[in-house]
Amino acid sequence: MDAKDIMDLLAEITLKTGYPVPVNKDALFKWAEPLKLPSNGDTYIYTGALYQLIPYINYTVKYLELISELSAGNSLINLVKKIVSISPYYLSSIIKPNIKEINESELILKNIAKILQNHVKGISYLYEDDIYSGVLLYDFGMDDYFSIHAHRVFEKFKLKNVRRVITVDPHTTHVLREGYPRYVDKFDIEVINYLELLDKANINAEKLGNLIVTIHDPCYYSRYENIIDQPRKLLKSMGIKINEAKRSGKNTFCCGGPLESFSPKFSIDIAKMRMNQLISESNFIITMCPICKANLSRVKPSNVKLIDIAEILSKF
Amino acid sequence: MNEGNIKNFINELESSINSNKILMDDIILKLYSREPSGIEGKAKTVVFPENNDDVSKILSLAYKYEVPIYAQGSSSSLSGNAAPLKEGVIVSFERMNKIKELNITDSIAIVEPGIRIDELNINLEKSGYMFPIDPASQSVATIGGAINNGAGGLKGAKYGTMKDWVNGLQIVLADENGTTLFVGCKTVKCRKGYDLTRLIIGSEGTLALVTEAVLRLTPIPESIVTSLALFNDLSDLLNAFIEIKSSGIQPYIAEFMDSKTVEMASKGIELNFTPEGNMLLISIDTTKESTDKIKKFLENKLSKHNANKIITSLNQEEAEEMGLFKIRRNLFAAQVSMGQVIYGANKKLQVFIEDIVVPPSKIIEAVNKVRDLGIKYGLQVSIGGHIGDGNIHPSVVYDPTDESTKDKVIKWYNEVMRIALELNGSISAEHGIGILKKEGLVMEMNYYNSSKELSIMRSIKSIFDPKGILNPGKVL
Amino acid sequence: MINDIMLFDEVNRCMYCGFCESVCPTISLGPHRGYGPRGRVNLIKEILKNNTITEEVLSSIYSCLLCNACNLVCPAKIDIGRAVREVRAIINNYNKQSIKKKIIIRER
Ligand SMILES: Cc1cc2nc3c(=O)[nH]c(=O)nc-3n(C[C@H](O)[C@H](O)[C@H](O)COP(=O)(O)OP(=O)(O)OC[C@H]3O[C@@H](n4cnc5c(N)ncnc54)[C@H](O)[C@@H]3O)c2cc1C
Ligand code: SF4
Ligand code: SF4
Repeated sequence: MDAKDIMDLLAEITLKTGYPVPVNKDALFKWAEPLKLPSNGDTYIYTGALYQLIPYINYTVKYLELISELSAGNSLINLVKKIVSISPYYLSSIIKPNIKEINESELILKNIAKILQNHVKGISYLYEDDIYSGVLLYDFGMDDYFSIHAHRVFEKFKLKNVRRVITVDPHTTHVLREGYPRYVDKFDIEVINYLELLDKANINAEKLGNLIVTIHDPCYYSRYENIIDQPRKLLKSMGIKINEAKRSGKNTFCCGGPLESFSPKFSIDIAKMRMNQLISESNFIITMCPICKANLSRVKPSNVKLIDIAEILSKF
Repeated sequence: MNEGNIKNFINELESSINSNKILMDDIILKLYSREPSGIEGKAKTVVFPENNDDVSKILSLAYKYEVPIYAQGSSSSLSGNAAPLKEGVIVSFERMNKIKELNITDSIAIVEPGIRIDELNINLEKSGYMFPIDPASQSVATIGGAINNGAGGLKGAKYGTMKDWVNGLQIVLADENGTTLFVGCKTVKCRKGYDLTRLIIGSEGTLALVTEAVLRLTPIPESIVTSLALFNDLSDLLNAFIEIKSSGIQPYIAEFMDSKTVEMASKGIELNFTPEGNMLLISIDTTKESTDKIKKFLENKLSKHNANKIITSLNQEEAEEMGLFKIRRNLFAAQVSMGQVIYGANKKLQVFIEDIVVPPSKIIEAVNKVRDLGIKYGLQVSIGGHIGDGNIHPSVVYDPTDESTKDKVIKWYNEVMRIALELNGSISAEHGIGILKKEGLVMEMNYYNSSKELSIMRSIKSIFDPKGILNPGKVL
Repeated sequence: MINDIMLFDEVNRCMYCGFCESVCPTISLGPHRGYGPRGRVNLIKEILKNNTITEEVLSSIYSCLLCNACNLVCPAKIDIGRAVREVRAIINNYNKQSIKKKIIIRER
């Protein structure tokens, strides 16, 4: 299908609703409620809603693909575009992603927040202001839309007196560090990733016994943000042995996820190549990014475990 | 070549092979019109054959319409070998990249030409075997390109070049029917009349198109001991090498780089030693039991010739951990950044890599003469190469828009070739003739009083390619 | 905003060696060299120099993962992933001036 349609739609919806796909906003921060994190402070966990959104994005893209297949003459896509421009919320009643995927994402976030709660002092959460970062707009090069959105996020940060955010995924981390300062004047928010923070916290970890794992480094951690050693140090401190893939660390191989919305075929073929590289080292694969996890899980053999690092670190 | 012919060729081709194998987008065509040599041509269309039949159809139609055909692997050539000089059709082998058969008992692999050398070796590793020709460009170089360039590599001293590792070839001729032949044998020993396999190897796509190759394989050595030694004095380095080579040992790898190049190539990489001086990198393959003995032998010879630093690893893993190959691998990047230092970081630069070979006993003389020549022309020349087989790659980097430097570089290039001849060597060891060395080839034949060779070669060319449509304007 | 000149200087350093193609996840899936980093870098040059954008050029630019594996092996140290993102922003501006073309990512 035409990638331009996808980009236009996601951008339009983002501008209208603050999110790239139709979602029920109130559901996106529910995961944090049982943890009773303070809602005021100066250092906040900022998820940029990426973990939460991935199930919705994947579902929406599938939906749009179907529509585009049905609408040879493009009339249906144009109809969707119209609906979005009139009432973007209408679509959220159609977009119903897999509940299991949503639960998994929420569990990962809960784990991350718990670890931070236990090991770092003075951490708050943004709740309804933990809104989407706009990273897809930046990746698509729709810088005009991105700039508008980024300003809105920054305003929210300012209203909450945010001085420092703790990010939990590679894409949000990167766009805050590179995209925001380019477009938002006087962007003075300190951006720290939770793995960097935990690494500095010098935690005395409990040993986990004889677990052997293989790490799938996300490209944006390893090649843009230089987050390579931190997760390894954390895992090793728990007595975990790491069988490195031939392409790991700086040399990592992409999971294929970024192409999911433009070419599902490319995306899955790349995921297969990557999965094969990983499972020739061990059958316990660690991911650190919601996009990697979603994409690799589609090609995961049944005897292989695919787990977000937060689930392991929660045993801290 | 006239426009109409190409149009008719494409029309008829479209009716006989799937249209997704034909590329016409003008802008994408430019990507098939260039090479790292800086030479640029003009492709009119690219065809992506997926099997021998496709190639045969392409060539018979090209014959019919007299359309120039340029075979390409990865276009990583350095002498203009793969660039389309005249407007013509590129036959890109990127989709013919399968391993068809792997037979460890017979130590052969039968492969399609588009497979990259590294890719092949990754597949062989599991069986403990390798294909030993390892040009510095092995991560991109395809088997078809390496065969047709007669490529060599770091292990040249021990394993020679492509001509020593190809048993047989399936080729397609540019004749009326696009005839397919199998030249050579599947076995190493082969006395099938004249050796047409070796005629094709190094022919730079001017005689026939290769669609399949029977390659020889060899076991990966049990252990490889590697020393990196640094010398203040280049002649000490060369003498150390000559002595090692004359001790009844055939080095597995023997590479060298002069001190200026070492300095450049060490920038921006992490090393746990200070790289100062001229570098000799020498590996010897052996059994696990003998590694210590070999280490002592190497260190002994190297220090006898005043190496001021010697680091030795007992096996490949250790060599990687110690970073012994890092400087060598960074050579091309270093040549590029040398240019950026001279001309500024934002300049478009051209790296010119010479490729002469002399008998190893003459290597000291050759290096000294090449160095003096650089000084004479006021060029920054970096000198390094596969010292093990006498192959040196003096290189200069320059701004291709600066005509006066360009002139100087061309003069220098020709004089470097003359140095090789004066020392009983040859003008090209492994990169081939292409366009840039055509004059050099004539010079070499005249120098050795062998000019009739050229007319014999022309006759051979016309038998294989009567209409002169295969890579026209190259080699001869 | 990184300007066009800076972007041009970045991609203009390409030596055309092709080393980057060996690590790129997309090149072996696409129909031609445009689906690899060497292609993308040189197409960016074309876009900036001649303002020419064909459908194949768009496929090349939008089939990139921005994973930057290529940057690591590039002897000229070109920041290819970032360059591709930047050129998308430039194309996006052109598009407003109504260059309307489909972006279809094709398989081999
Ligand atoms: C930085 C750098 C370092 C290099 N180091 C070395 C080195 O150490 N040793 C070395 O030998 N070379 C070296 N080279 C040169 C080059 O990379 C090699 O010769 C390589 O083998 C060429 O492979 P290719 O796939 O790029 O071939 P191409 O450049 O695409 O083609 C090479 C020639 O073969 C022909 N050809 C290709 N495929 C076929 C086919 N199927 N049938 C018929 N003809 C065909 C082409 O027409 C052309 O004439 C280096 C190049 C670079 C840029
Ligand atoms: S950034 Fe783009 S061009 Fe570079 S390796 Fe990744 S997909 Fe290929
Ligand atoms: S590795 Fe760098 S210099 Fe070589 S072709 Fe790719 S982009 Fe160009």
